[in-house]
Amino acid sequence: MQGIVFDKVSKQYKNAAAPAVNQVSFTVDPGSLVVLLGPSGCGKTTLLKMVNRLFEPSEGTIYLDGVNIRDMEVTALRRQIGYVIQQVGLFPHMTVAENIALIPSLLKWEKPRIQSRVDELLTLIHLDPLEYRDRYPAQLSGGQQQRVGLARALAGDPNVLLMDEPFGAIDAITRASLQQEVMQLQNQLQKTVLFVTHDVEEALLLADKIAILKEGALVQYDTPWNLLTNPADEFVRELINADDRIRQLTVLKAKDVMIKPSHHEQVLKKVQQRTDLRQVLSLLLSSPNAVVAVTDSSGKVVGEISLQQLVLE
Amino acid sequence: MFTNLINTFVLAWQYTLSHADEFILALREHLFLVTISMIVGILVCVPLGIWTARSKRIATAALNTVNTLRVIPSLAILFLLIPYLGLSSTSALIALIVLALPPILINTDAAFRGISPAILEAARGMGMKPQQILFQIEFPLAAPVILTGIRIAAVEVIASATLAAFVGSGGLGIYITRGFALYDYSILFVGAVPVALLTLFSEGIISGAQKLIQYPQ
Ligand SMILES: Nc1ncnc2c1ncn2[C@@H]1O[C@H](COP(=O)(O)OP(=O)(O)OP(=O)(O)O)[C@@H](O)[C@H]1O
Ligand SMILES: [Mg+2]
Repeated sequence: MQGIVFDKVSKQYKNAAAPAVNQVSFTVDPGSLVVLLGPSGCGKTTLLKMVNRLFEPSEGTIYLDGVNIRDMEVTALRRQIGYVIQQVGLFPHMTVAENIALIPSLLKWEKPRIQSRVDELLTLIHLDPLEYRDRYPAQLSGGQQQRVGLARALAGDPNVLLMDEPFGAIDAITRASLQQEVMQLQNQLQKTVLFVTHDVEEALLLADKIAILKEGALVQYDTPWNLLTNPADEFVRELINADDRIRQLTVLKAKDVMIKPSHHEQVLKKVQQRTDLRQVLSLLLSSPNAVVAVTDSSGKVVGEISLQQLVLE
Repeated sequence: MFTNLINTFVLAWQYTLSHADEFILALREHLFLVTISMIVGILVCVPLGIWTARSKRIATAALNTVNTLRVIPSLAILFLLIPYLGLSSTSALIALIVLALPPILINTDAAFRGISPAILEAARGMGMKPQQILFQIEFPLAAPVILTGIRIAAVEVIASATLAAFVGSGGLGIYITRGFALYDYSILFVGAVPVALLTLFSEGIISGAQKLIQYPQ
């Protein structure tokens, strides 16, 4: 068992009438980004915090790479899981560099290694190390703070990343650029990510798979494409607004619908795996043979899409 | 009026010079009383304040106690203690410690309570141990407010240490009581001026320390 496995996990808070999380079972494949989606109070945060043991389940078991997380020392477990929250929680008395260096120094890395890691991460999140290394959190914009929060979570090179509405408090334009960055990072780093949001667009945009929660129970766990085309019930259909086709195209990605490449012409227009289907459609409509090739990050053709793939049966 | 004041200062200075040995002893006694009661106040109230900040019930009990202590005048405490401890510096120290407790405790409690839960959650979530969180996160964040409490306590203690003279444990207060007894303002100044200077000095040191640890807000 690899990745994160939830096995009949429940959480009953004291003095609460109903459990906040109720018999939830699903598997997060290693290297994939899974979004927990659902209305406010449905148990997303509770479920997430049970993974780094800020909460303990009342029932059920969570496995990380096959190991029951209860059998791991709690601080050791947390140090291999990056954690990003909406309020960011940067330490205001530490510089950006000190914030990012915290986990590596807890892990007792050598000084030079920590320093180069800090610069590497700042570059990765598009903040110039020379300019930002020695700033304090109060001297950053909200979006920059959240970037640093992300860098801090990545600092110890964890395999797993937990993100609880990381962009919830950020304006729409900055949020869009941060979402793009998360997608780029995910292409590059392939972490196992659990991402909480109640923003449907964000979920459809980022997720490899989405777990939809309602009153603590898992209603459907599937790819964005399958959720849109086969919602399990009315609740899911309405939640993700499954009937709006144009909207679907803006959030679904090439890799969701591509088929095996069969055309070998080099003249095909090319799109990335994570290009959204609206751009794909636009290209298709302007391509003479109405086929585009899909490439991976190295430029290798891994699939193709024609108009047919955009039409629902 | 103004020349009178200058005259009094000059007389006070001359008195100090002619009683140099006595003055230095009084100053040392004063500093001893202040230092000991501040150290005890800090050692008791900082840990206590950290504890009360984590528990509402304990906080209410402890803060009510010190607030009650606070309304009893130091002089009254001093006289209440005399039957038990006699005319001793222990009586004076206890009265001063009682004075030092409330501001330090109240500020420590408020400082720790005021730390954003998101910061603490981030610290726990990234795998810091409780002790690491206390010393690397909570203390540095609470320090400015705790220092303010210490400053308030220091000012009160430095001024009130003059009361030690009433129970015969010396300090700069001896010149104040003597000045009153002899109805001589210049002698009173020999005690009062150094007390004022000590107060300013301690305020300066502590605000300097606060500036040193200040981070951009
Ligand atoms: N510490 C707690 N003690 C008691 N009940 C709690 C606690 N935390 C959450 N709950 C309750 O558990 C339920 C699920 O809360 P949770 O925070 O997991 O929801 P959420 O899906 O993250 O909501 P949101 O989108 O608003 O953040 C809610 O009914 C909430 O009131
Ligand atoms: Mg939540």
